[in-house]
Amino acid sequence: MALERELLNKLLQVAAPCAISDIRVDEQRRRVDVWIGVRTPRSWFGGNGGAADAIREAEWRHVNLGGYHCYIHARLPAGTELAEQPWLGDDKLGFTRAKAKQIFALMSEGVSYEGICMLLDVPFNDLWKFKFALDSGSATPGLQGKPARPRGQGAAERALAAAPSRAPAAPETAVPDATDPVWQELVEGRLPVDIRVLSLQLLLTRMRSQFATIHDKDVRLLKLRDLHRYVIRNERVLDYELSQLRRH
Amino acid sequence: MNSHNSAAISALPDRLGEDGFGAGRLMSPDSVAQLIRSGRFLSIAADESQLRRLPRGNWIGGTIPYFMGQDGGVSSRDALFVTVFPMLAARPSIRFYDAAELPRVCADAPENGFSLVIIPAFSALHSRFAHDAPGYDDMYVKPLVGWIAGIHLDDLATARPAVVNGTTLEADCERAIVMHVDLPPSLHARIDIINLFRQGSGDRIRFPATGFSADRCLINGQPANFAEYVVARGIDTRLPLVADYSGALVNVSFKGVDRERRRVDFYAPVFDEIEYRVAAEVPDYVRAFQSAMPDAERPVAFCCNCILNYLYSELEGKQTGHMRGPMTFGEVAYQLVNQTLVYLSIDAD
Repeated sequence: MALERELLNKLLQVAAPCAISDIRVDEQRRRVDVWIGVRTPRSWFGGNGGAADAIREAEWRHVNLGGYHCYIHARLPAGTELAEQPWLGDDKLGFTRAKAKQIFALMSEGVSYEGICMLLDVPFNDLWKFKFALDSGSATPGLQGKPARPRGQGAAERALAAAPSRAPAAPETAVPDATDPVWQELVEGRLPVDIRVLSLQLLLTRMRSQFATIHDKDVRLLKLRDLHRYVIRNERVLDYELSQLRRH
Repeated sequence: MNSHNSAAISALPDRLGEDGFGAGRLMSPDSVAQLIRSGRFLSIAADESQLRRLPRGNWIGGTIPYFMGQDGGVSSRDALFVTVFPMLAARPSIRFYDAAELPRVCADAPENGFSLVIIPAFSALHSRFAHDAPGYDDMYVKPLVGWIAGIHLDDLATARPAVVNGTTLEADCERAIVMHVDLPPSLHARIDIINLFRQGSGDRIRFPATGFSADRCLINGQPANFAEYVVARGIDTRLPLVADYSGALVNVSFKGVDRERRRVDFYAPVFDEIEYRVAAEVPDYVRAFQSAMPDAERPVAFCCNCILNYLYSELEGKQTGHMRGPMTFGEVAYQLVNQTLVYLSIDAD
């Protein structure tokens, strides 16, 4: 057991003061459950049980370990300040940072939700909750603290620069590039564009309300990429709107 | 309400939809059965008693006995409103969606085409769709049009709206039925709405939570109880709340004011991030409608209008131009809308 703990500590990158307290492997369900807490000199999860030592419990889905689903059960004293660790998660997202990062990267590449569910073996409902939390600005994918990225370029920005996936290639397109500032200006209502196409009217209204609550730069860029993908897909009906965008 | 316009349904389909997309029409049961047997892909709106008599085939259906037919507004338990979707590309697909599956409806839609959805009113799915549809994967990217199945208003206590999968003749009160229709690359689908209501010049109204009912609200930024506000101002609840979605005016219709519970119920959810105003009055609905009609030359592939427009504007026996279709318990133009005419057109590049 000690060896297993030591190995999993390394695999999950559990750093002090946290440590693995228990591991359960369900061979039949191909599932690993790992309990992680803060080790104190006297006991796990510390203290004498007083109110000040209230334990916050959470369960998050982590990246798979081989062919096994991995679930982290965190038992942390309330108010514990921890450095960014990949096994930590956000209750609203339901995933650890490492798993959220995987999902977000695929979203940024324009992979369909069904595709993400299939590739990462995630239930659609869990992905739906994840997306809702991002859309409502109530959670961020926890990409802060990840390995150094080129200055000024987030995951979504890199994804924007990458080859489009769901958006069909349109070499002759008259649509401004995905990185063009015109998209952000459009969403923020800074462009006086008369919009006549219902789908764009509804989409923009939704995005504007999301931008009012989403402050995470990567999530905002993900939304701008969605807008660009919509325009590419619907270029044929957006002549009037695009002609106005091109004038700016 | 129980009028029956036999002349409106006696005609055979003639060349209905044979050469392309075209507005639907009211038809007799025998004519519809004949059309189904021809193998065409159809959307059918009718009273449940009529839908149950139809043969198996490539059709989807929803219950409703109110129509805007070729001879004007009509309520009929005998007529069926039929829209033909010609197969111009891949074979359309038909399937039910339950609550867990419906969020994928747009993702399942063809890359170029449209999807027609019919959802039974009063079902849990109806509420879920109204609330969640704006967040569906590929929502607004691919055209999703449709309507909410209803029942005769005399039957509200005894019947339930249903949808039917014609390929199996299975009826369902809790699932949505969807037809995904592919189009060839030279054609594209477009959904538009005709909303005769405009925002009135009255108070700005916001709600703290998204939902089909509301008690608390902000009137011009000041906290208030919405039921008390509606009563105190004597607001005509036949007029919807209207929100401006980047130029598109979207209605939320009043269902009722519960004075005891100090709550207002709606036929569609109010959203917490949206600002509403009560609609300005429409003095002459039919005239306003006719002046708002799009170019008659533009081919309309599908159309539906709201039962509340039928009732409040007394459309029975009146014509609203070339826009024909079922008068429904809610309309789908991507998301759920109320008191609105929704139409799908197919344009060539």
